[in-house]
Order: sequence, then C-alpha cells, then structure tokens
Amino acid sequence: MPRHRFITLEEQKQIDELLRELLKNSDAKTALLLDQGGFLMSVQGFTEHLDPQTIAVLAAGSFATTRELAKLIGEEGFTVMFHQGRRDNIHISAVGKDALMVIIFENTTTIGMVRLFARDTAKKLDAILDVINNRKAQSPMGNIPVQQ
Amino acid sequence: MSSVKEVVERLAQVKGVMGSILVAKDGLVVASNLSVQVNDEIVAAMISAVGGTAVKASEMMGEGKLKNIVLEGEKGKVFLTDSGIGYLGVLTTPDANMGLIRIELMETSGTLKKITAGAV
Amino acid sequence: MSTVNFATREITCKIVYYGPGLSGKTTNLLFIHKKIPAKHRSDMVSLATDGDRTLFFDFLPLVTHAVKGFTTKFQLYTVPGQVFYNATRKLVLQGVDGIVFVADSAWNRMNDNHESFINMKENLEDYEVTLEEIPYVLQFNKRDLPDAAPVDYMNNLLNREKQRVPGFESIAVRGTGVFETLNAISRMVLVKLINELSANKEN
Repeated sequence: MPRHRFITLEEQKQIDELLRELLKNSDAKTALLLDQGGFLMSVQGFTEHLDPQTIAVLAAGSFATTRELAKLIGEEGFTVMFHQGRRDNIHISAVGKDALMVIIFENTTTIGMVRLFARDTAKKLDAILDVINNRKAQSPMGNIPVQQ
Repeated sequence: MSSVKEVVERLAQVKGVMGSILVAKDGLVVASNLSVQVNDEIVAAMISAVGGTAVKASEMMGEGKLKNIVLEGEKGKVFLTDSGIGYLGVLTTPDANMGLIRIELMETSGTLKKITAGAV
Repeated sequence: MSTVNFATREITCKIVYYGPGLSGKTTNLLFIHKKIPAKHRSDMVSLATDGDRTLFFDFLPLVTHAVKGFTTKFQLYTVPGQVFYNATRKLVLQGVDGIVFVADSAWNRMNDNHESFINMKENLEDYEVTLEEIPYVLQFNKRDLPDAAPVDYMNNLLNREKQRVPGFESIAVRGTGVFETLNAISRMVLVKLINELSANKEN
C-alpha cells in the first residue's frame, strides 16, 4: 500500500459518476464508496438525515467482523453483506481488495436488482482504484504548494 | 433507454400474460410484475430451480443451450427463457398465444442484454 | 496512509490511540471531542460488538494552512476497553499515519504496557510498517496515581527504539496533557507529510 493516496479531480468525477449511474440503474437511494478502513471516498444520491462518514466507518467495521466470521468457517472472506430492514435496506459489497461499496435502497427496488448493477459498478470502480492505489508517491498534479 | 424494471413490467401487458418476473440464477428477484395472488419469492425460487435443472438437462442430453421452457398447467402456462442476466418468466392464461409470447420473450431478453451490457 | 484529494482539496490523516486496556485511550478521545468546537469535528462514533469497541471521530484542526489550498483533517481512532480479539486492534492500525501510545502509570500495569507495545509493533509489521517509518509519541497517563511509576523507568521500558520519541505526562480524566500529546503527534504527522510532499516536488 502506498504511503499517500492521491485522488485527482478527474478520478473523483469518474467515481462519483459511476455511483450516480448505479443509483439510476438500480433505483437505489444512496451509494457510498469507502476503503476498508472506513475512509469515505464518495457519496451520491439521497443524503438528507444521513451521516455518510459514520455510515462508512460502521460499514467498514461490520464488514471486517464478517471477515473474522469467514475465517472461522474456513472461508477467505465474504464479498457481499446485506441487511434487510422494514423499509430501508443496506447492501455492502467488496470492491477489489481494499474498498467497499455501500448501497442504501428502499423496497421500491429489489436486492436482485441492486446486486446486478453493484457487481458491474464494482468492476469499473476497481479499475479506477487500482490506478489510484498503484500511483507512486509522486503527486499527479505536479506540485502541491507546501508551506514549511 | 428504459430500465430493467420497465422492460420486465412491459412484458406483463402482452395479451394473455398475467405476470412477468426476472430472477437471478440463484433465485433472487431482480424485477417482477406479478398479480397479488402469487408470492414473488416462491415463484422466483421455483423458476430458478426449474431453470437450473432444465439448462443442465438440455446440455447433458446433447440438446445444446436451452432456449425455452414451457410448463403447462390446468390453470395456465409458465414460459421461461434464459436472458443472460437471469431467468425471465411469464405466467399466462391457458389459452395464451404461445408463438406470440415466445417472440415477446426473445425480444425482451435481447433488450435486457443491451441494458445490462457489462453488468453480468 | 494519508489521502490527498484534489477534488475536495482535503488531506486526511489517521491517528490511532493504542495501548493496554483501561490505560485511558478513550478518555483522551472523549476529552478532545468535548473541547473541540462542534463545527470543527464530527460526532463520536462507536463501532460496538459485544466485547470490542472501536471509537472514532474526525476533526479539522484549527490551523488548516499547513498545505496551501488544502484543508487538513485528522481522523482519531482507538480501540477502547480490554479488547479480546487482536483482529480488532489490528484493524484500526490499517493505514495509520501517526500513533499515540497511552501507557498506564500504575506499577502493576507495566507488564501490560510492555506487552501492548510489542503487540502494536507486531500488528504494524503485518501491514509492513515499522516504528521507524511512522510518527508516534508516548503518553504516560494517570500521573496522579499514588503508586505511579517514575517517568524515567517507563521511558526505559517503552522508549527503547533507535529513535527516542517524545513522552508526555498526563492525567486524561482531568484533561491534563491531552492536547499537548495531540498537538505533538499531529505536528509530527504533518511535518512528515509535508516533507514527503515536498520531496516529490524535487523529483
């Protein structure tokens, strides 16, 4: 893992756009991209009365818990986690090796629909994250103005 | 372009069709437009079970890739096809026009593949 | 791992409070949380399973011009209580940029302090990080205890890496030494970040 992660304007736009497309296709309410440590990289869709940063950290935490659970049954790790509520549901899925996508949806759509498009979006997001995570310490924008 | 949901729902408007459903291969409902008398989840589970067995049977009996399944019951028929992203099924009245429904299923299947290109 | 986001113009760094159970890590975080004005921080979040908790919140430090045009944001994490699973402790260290090791000054906790320090080194190694690469400070907490061990002794016990690091005496329940520790570690993390960013500049 690199020491610093640089996310360019262009990459952030692409990530945001992919999440919005996912929301449109799947009819879900809110989508978040975060790393497995809970660092929030993007949140799209309906966010009123939601605290995305807290959701990110809690999602990362519970996903990590399932990894331990997986180990206990001899599985390397789970890739999807789903919580069903009375009206709102949460779908958490792995994006590549070290990121997670959280999708919040109401009963107006189905888990099948969300999963269908989540898989596709995850593949595309992973390609972008791969570029970000394999970037050498070099800053992509040339210089960052630093005050000593 | 229409959404998956719209495409599946539109299928239920074909003459003789009482309901339509798209089911992922593992039995999860992707989209459905069934009447209230039937339970979506039961239909979905049965469709994926029948679909899965039929696909395997067709291959093992040397008939190649499965195109269609028709279940004929006393009270109606069920048409099934493998749409690529899952099993697409319609529930019809006993006197529904089989030829018409087959064509509609094939067309819908093609549209779904286009919408979800890359999503599978 | 700090994240530099050119879209939001934010730099985010992660600081972890580590140490043996009941040494005062959560007390540190709670005090900081209480003292920082609400507009500069988020709510405190607790990731709770039955036995293990991870506390988390992030805040924007008051001085935000360390890197021109960017806001610097620190995320503070800790694993409070006597954590049963090492997995939880290890998880919080993922992508860490700076560590505060909170040691308990009680004589009978010296073994626990030492064990926790070794455990921290091992967990870092799993992420392929050594203590030489990562800024950290020590905090000798509970200095008000009647049986508090001498600071020299605790330094001898815990501050034995090649690079000696700053140690701070504290009474976290009263807030004594809490911000001194936080200021020191955030400065160290920022200096390191700035050095690394300007090193890139020359390349």
